[in-house]
Amino acid sequence: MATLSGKNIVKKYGKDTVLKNVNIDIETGKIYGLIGRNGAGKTTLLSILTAQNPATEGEITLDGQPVWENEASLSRICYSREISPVTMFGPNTLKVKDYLKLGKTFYKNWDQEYADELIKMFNLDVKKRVHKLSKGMLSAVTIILALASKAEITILDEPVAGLDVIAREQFYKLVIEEYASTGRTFIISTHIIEEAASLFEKVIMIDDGQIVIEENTDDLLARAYRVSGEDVQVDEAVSGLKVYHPESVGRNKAVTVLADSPVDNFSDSVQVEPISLQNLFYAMCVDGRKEA
Amino acid sequence: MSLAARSLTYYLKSSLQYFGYAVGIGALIFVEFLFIHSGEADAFGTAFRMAVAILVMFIAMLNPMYAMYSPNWYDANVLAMGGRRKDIFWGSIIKEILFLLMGVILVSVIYVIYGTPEMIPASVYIMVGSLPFTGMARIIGHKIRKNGRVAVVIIALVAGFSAAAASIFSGLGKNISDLLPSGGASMVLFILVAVGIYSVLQIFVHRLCSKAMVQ
Repeated sequence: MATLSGKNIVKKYGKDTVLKNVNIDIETGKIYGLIGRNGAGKTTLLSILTAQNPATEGEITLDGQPVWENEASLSRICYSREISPVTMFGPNTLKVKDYLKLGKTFYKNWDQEYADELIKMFNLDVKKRVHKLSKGMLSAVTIILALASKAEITILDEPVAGLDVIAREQFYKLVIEEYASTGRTFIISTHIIEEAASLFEKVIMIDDGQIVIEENTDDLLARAYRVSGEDVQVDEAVSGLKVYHPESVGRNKAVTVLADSPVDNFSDSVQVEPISLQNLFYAMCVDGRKEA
Repeated sequence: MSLAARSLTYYLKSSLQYFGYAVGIGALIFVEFLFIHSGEADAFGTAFRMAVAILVMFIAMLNPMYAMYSPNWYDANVLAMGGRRKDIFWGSIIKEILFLLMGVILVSVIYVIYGTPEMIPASVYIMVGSLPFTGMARIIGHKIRKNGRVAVVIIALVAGFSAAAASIFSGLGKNISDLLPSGGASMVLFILVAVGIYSVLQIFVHRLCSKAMVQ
């Protein structure tokens, strides 16, 4: 099993440290979800892992070989970024078909037949210029590029932003089909966690430039709970466990708990419910900060 | 096909595409001037001379324009598709030189066919003279990417002063061709100097390109 690995990654922009000594291992043949708040460092991390941007410190390897300027590694990776409708000199006048032609030129396993199929599915007008595309259509372009690249490791940054619910469901289905038929690795960075959670075999949670969780999604959720009841009893039940985002209403209290391993002996005096990935993410990230 | 070969394909196609634009513009200008001067005794000749002169100018201008724009857009696209910094660096050089060579050959062939080979040296000076500006434009493009609008304002000021200097030069009754050397050996020397300056500038371009990133 191949591994895309980042060791001790630090990224600084001037005085700001965006990534703080990040260590990450992406094993091939899995679907990863990368979640984090705006500005948490998701895009920076993905850019560095794919050698699109240099790290200030640290080392990125794929199967032990450096990724930076290395054809053997780069040819196995596709990082399909959000396309900007504007450039520094004005509107982005590139035609969609020219952007996709660029993909065809550079990705050695490019599947044009599949790209044409996806263009039809997303009802994309390839003669349109990028600056005239809607947000949803821009997302469709990044999805088509990523999927048709047939790259072994395919990374999508906010692929469903702007897509309507039907197109989003189509995208999730496409990823599952591709994964089932090819075993490609997908890393999907998204804010729409609730919908995509079932897609993720592993989840990477990044907060304030640090990876706070990198774990199998089912294993993570199996040790996460929402515990509620009278405050004294809740405090007693969760004593010794990692507690996030306590909410009190009168004498009642609810907390999010992330135990080290699944807990099956909570007291009967409190209510224990499973928690979704989105709610766990919210509880972990909102703690100690001003709620946005 | 290797990544270097795929990158080369991209830059060769790109060079041909831009050359097509230049020729297309030249053809349009020819038709327009033919229309404007219709009825005159030497309408064809006038339109032809204007079209070729404008084609020469476009060939001289497109390379620096593309070079300035590239670090902010085209280079980033290549990097985003898994290209390497060295693919961008060498690909751009190949693209720029090829574009220029095609221009010099086409314009020379046109002048020979039209029976005015004496026009060739001035055109070659203008086209080859754009090579150092292409190198400078790429450096400026990198500075614009790094420093944003501040760099654009500084460049606009420098360009403005240069234009003013050129106007004063012209106002004194001087012509730019007065500065150009004449004779075959001088042309070879001019080309060597232009290529030399372009090559030296590539050292700085290489440094900047090795730090290129997708923003």
